[in-house]
Amino acid sequence: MPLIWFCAFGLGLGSAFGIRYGEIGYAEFLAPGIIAMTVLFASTFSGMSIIVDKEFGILKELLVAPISRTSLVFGKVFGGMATSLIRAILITILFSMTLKISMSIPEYLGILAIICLISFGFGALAIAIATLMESMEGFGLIVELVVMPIFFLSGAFFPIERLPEWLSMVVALNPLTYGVDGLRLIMFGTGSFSMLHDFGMLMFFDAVMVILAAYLFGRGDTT
Amino acid sequence: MKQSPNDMIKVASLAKRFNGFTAVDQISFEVSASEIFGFLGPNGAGKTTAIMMLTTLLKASGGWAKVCGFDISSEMRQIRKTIGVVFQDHTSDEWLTGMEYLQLHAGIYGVDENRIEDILKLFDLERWGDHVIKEYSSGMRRRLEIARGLIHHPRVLFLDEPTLGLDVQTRRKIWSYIKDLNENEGLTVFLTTHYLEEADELCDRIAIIDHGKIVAIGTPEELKSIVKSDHPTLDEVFLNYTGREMRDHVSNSRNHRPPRGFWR
Ligand SMILES: Nc1ncnc2c1ncn2[C@@H]1O[C@H](COP(=O)(O)OP(=O)(O)O)[C@@H](O)[C@H]1O
Ligand SMILES: [Mg+2]
Repeated sequence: MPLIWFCAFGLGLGSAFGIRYGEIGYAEFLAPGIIAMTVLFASTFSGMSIIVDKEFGILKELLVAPISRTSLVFGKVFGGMATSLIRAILITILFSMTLKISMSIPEYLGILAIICLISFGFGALAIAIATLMESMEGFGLIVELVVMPIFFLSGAFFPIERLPEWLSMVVALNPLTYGVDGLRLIMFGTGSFSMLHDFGMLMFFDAVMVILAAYLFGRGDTT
Repeated sequence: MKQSPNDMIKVASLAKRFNGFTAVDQISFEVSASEIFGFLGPNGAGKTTAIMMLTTLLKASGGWAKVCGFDISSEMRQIRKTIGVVFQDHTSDEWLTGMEYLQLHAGIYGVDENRIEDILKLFDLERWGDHVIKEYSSGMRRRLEIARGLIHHPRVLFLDEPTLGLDVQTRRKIWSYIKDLNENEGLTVFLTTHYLEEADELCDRIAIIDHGKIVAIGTPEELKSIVKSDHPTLDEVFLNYTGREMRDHVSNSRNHRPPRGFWR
């Protein structure tokens, strides 16, 4: 799925219109966005699946045991992080081969760190949303109303410098923007913000989301 | 209301509403220590909802209840430490072995590993510890889940329709485990069922619940004596209280089985 996106847009659009971003071609520009998308989708899906877990299986046993709700939220978030990591690492390796990016070990570790930060925050956000929902039926709607806009308005597709004011406001409020930017900085050395800024924003987002998720999950109808 | 020291469970006007629909309607009762107490009622009567409130998984919409002297709405953690719960639908993870499943829970409750061996033996599963749960029959899986519910020596065991869908032999076997635990260790048991003979055979006292309300409560004998008939069976008592129409509504569990014909 992420690869189809990449081929359609990165290679298709890029070569058809000859778009370039500074030093790099459009395919390169898009690659970090595709990695971020993989993580975004994997982590939100995993977080939302807590609805199903609550209905069946082991989560019910855990809920009735003397375990804090916060640690259950962390467990779920880390589970989603594992899935995200596996998928994102595969894609990253693929990109670095096809696009001939050479990265040092610390750079790879930096990428892993950003993947974890993105996954953590959005996994927690998904849990927070899940606590407000009755069943997985609304999942499609959440994807359309929340996940896709987050993806499209993150600077994954287009440079965020040349946007109209209101749109750049929205993009700046979107945490995924900083994930994509951080990945792009590491992979190609170009980006819109500083690395410190990207990491700071992601960590801030993660902290807020996990507190929100733990609060909502602990407070829900199922206490 | 006074809390007698012997009451393991005390419930007063407990209610649960789901967006205006009343699933549990102001129920009140007590369960004393070492008693086997049963909720008997048709599908959709509110049994699972009541158990979910008593086991701290659902917030009550009204009334109060205490389990082992702890309040269900404010002392959840203390209650969770002292109760064991076996849910209506299987909750064990099919891909774990029986042993791994119990180890996981022993870890959660900080229970000694020796306990796993003991409890497997108690439920005649010692030969199956290394098999994945997928290979278990429904009855074995239920036994394993009851074993799991007992791993931390709870003072009260909650069983939601413990023998639902099991064959007669397995059902009797599970009854004998429950009875033994009750007699040998003084375990207090709260169970729900829609099988009359299960309530009759197992329970010291029964509450008949229908449409969220308790319509009768007492020992099986007391309930039978109410019905004016030469040889009252619990069936007649049950029908007397709950009416004769079929209940086809869907219970809250998403993977619920088709409504069972308990109007034999
Ligand atoms: N989460 C829920 N939302 C709305 N209605 C529910 C929910 N859970 C249960 N109910 C309804 O409450 C009633 C009692 O359900 P339940 O407690 O599962 O009955 P039982 O376990 O006795 O079969 C049923 O009519 C059921 O549809
Ligand atoms: Mg039920």
